[in-house]
Amino acid sequence: MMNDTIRSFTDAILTGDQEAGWNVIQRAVNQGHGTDHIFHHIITPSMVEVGRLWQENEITVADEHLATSTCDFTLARYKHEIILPRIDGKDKTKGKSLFFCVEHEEHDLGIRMTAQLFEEAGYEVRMMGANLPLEYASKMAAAWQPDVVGVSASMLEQGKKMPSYIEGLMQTLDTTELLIGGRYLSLSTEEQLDSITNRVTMVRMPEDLRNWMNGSTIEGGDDI
Amino acid sequence: MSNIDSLPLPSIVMDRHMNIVQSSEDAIRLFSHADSFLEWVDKESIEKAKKFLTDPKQSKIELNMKTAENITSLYTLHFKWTGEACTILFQQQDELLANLMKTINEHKLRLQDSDMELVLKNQQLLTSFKRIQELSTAVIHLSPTVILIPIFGALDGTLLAESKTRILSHVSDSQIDELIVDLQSVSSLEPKGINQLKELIKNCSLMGAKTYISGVKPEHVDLLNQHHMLDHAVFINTLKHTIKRLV
Repeated sequence: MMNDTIRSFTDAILTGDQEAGWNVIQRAVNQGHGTDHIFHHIITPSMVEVGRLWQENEITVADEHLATSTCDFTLARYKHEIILPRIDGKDKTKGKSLFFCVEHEEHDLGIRMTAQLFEEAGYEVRMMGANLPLEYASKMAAAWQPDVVGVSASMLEQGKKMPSYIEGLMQTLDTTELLIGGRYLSLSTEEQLDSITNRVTMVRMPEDLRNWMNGSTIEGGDDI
Repeated sequence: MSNIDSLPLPSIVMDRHMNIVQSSEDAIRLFSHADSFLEWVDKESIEKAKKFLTDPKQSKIELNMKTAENITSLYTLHFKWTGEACTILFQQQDELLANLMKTINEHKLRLQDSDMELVLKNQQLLTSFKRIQELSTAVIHLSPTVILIPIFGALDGTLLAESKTRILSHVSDSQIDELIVDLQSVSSLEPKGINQLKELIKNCSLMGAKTYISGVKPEHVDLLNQHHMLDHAVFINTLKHTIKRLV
């Protein structure tokens, strides 16, 4: 579903126009849209559209890279201009959260947006970014003992590593909850996720994340 | 059919069903033997290949290809249909672009790393700062009901604001009758700091504790006077003398 906002943002990132991209986001903020809406209904569909344009042979990978780095910039600016002032002076009482992509996965926009949503909701956040081997992830998790860990994979090939990450992290951490997400989930036809327990949530849709966050909210119901 | 081995890039000829009719030595070395062209294409690029490679109006396409060494990498395919045959040339994604992207990613990682380091350092600093503020307004018991609070450093708006609650709960918990605030080690005074001090004295007074102020430096006298501090506390010249009297 392409509306004018998504089209404007897509055009801006494909031409590398950081200001135009930011204006679209700023307008949405001024209209009262929350971070959840901006990430899920403007930025994500725009990046999906960029992927579609490559599939349709209308743009090259070089164009895709430009769009990605412009999007990256927009996210960094969003964090500094919108999220940080909102949480300034508030205690991070919701718990500790750790986020990263599986090894060799370079697509980290999704997990970065998730991390920002958690930051805004009052979690202490450590964002380890793209391409984190299980060994390092386990070490970091064991030392820091987060309350929730979010792991992402986009490419089908990288998604194959997810079961070993789930297993490894469940062994390392006794009570931590795992959130598993990324584009690969929508592509995998077979269910290879036998190791699922009630501590693991598969985030297939934005609603899944929203439900999890609302469910874990002790005070309940704050709209992020 | 022309000899495709003489072409400068790996190349093949395929038919309408995307079956490979002829491959150059280079192409076989790169992708290994296959009957169908699609065997070389990465799973996620197959639909794109089927849609555009069979369209005679197109001439160029980017696809992720699986090499003989089982590495997936991006290729630009230049192709041309002549009748029932399509000749394809494979050009690996410009190495310059790949290297540039690698460098950009490294820069990005470094920025994220330094960002993370800054965040961690900032947290450490804030913790240390809080600790310093606590130490700058330490509560010392001279007797069970008399306490001394020597203030160190700059008495600005933040110092007492941070310590006020701690001092007041101490006054309340330990049922303090008298407290002496010693200003001897105060380096600089600010109006906001004096107001905070006044608030503290008033609050202590409401809890039944009387405040004495000692160690006023000559350079601070004017400012204290402008804030009518004499109305709020008893000033004493030497700490030693007062301690002897109170304790």
